[in-house]
Amino acid sequence: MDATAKPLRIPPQMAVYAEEHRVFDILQKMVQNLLIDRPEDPIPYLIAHLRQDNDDVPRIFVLGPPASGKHIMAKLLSERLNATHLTPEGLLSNDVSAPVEEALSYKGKDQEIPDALWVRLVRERLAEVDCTKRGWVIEGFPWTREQGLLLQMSGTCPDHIVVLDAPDIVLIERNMGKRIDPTTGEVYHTTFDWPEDPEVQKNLVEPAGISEEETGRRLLEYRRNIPGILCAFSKIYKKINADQPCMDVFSQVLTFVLSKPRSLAPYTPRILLYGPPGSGRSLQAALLAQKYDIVNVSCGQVLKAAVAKKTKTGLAMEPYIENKQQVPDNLALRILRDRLSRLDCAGRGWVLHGFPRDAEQAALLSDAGYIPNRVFFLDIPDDVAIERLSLRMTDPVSGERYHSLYKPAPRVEVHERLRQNPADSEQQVQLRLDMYHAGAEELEEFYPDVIHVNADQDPYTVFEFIESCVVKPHPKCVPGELPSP
Amino acid sequence: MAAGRELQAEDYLRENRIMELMNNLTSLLLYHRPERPREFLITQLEKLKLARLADEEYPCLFGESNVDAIFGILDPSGQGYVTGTQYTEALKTLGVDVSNLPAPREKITHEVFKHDMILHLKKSSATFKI
Repeated sequence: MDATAKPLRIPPQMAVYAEEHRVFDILQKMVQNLLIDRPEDPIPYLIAHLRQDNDDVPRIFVLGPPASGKHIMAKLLSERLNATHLTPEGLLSNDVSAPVEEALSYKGKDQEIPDALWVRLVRERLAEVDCTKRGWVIEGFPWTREQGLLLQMSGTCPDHIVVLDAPDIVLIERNMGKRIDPTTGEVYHTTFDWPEDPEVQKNLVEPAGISEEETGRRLLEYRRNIPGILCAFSKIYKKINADQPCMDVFSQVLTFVLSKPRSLAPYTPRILLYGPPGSGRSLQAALLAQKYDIVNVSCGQVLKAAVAKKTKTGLAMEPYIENKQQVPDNLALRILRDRLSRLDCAGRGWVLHGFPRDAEQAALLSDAGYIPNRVFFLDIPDDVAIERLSLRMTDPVSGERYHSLYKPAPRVEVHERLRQNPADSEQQVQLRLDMYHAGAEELEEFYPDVIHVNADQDPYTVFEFIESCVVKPHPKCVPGELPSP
Repeated sequence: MAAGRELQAEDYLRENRIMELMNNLTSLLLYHRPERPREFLITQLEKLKLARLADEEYPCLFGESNVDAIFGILDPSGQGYVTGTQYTEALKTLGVDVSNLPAPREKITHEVFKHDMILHLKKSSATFKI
């Protein structure tokens, strides 16, 4: 490359725009669909695809051994996500079309329906408008690896596969209590899900194949096939323990299907860490900066650096810092803005901590055009914060820092000469904690997607959690519901 | 099998000039930054569809005035022509792939320059199978 050429500067608004509107994902989906369907004329096809606007609809398989609760999970999911709920049996009974008749004729002759035909049935049903518009949840399909591969080859791939699992003994026992309402086809259970309506109770019948031997046979069949299926969909499935109360299983399933896969979209992390004193903001910021090569912007440090450099704003701030007063917002913001607008921050991303402290400062920051895309609240109880800070001591001779609980001084004479930073005294810490509590609530309201981190853990555990949230995109929101905090 | 499918996909992308289309759409999107990107893309594709029928007015970031402006920058003293190197650089600025073009002549007048630029722009925004 010509080193004398002017470096190509891309306006930062473009990156922000692309990220906010997920331009990359839109275009990626367009190319993906083009390649799957390879239409003769791509332009009208793309127009139709964009009109459909169904990139985000749920596409889910719910798999699991007999009696693991597939049906209930799929039903709850489809109700919650407003998607179409499909079952293999339902496919055969609902509509009358050529493949359905073909399948029924196999069934009439007591033969197995071939995999290819199943796949055609499913594909045809999924192409219908309710599935394309609202998304779909299919339970219990595919049940062989071949079906899975055929589906993939024909271009149908779910976004999530929920695999329910429980020990065999639980499943066999559970299956024995299964009852079916012959009129509606609903599934009930003698102990776990007994209908309240006596009319329904009277009608219930024992379905076929719930005996121990029969269940055992089906389980064996399932266990033989499931590794192959999961191998075909290795990146998108999650195993969930079904031997828990129904609602617990459901909440886990829902969290999983709302998560989004990692996107290849170019993305510069703009992280904001917020927490009480002693919650480990600086440490986490340093770890993030080190691992992801982003710029660690500590508000306090930046302000002090400006004062030391004797810049104009720095000199204006000096009296405040010397008297340990809070620096006025506009001065602090000016200095921060200088730092964040430098090329390294724009190109590599930043992790900011120590600012903003309340909603007013946060508003100033976003007015200046610096909107973080991940906001973390490091939560610790007050007494932990006090314990972490007020017991910190420094050895004036060696400069080493000690903590009476976590890192006591090695020898008595060292212990005796330890001195405490006046800012770490219990009153001071309490003062800073009060300031934190004053701002925390409104700040949480200000930022829509706050991620709460339990910071009262090992620093690396906290770091791993933060990392996972930085790398993964924000989860989807359930339609018609505000994102839960 | 897998390799064959991959090749087919590549052929498809090349034949229909999907990558150029996506590049153009992305630049349009990032330049205009519309509130509703989906609707914007639909409009652009509709325009492209119409332009294909009429063979004019392709959706493109640069217009005639931009070409004139570039010529003005390259020829500040008003000689009325630019050199071959300047001509190639101008094409690069407009986002045209210059690797397969024949070497341009020494002196290029304003008319030729404008005509060529517009032709190239049209070619690079006519992203469909011919």
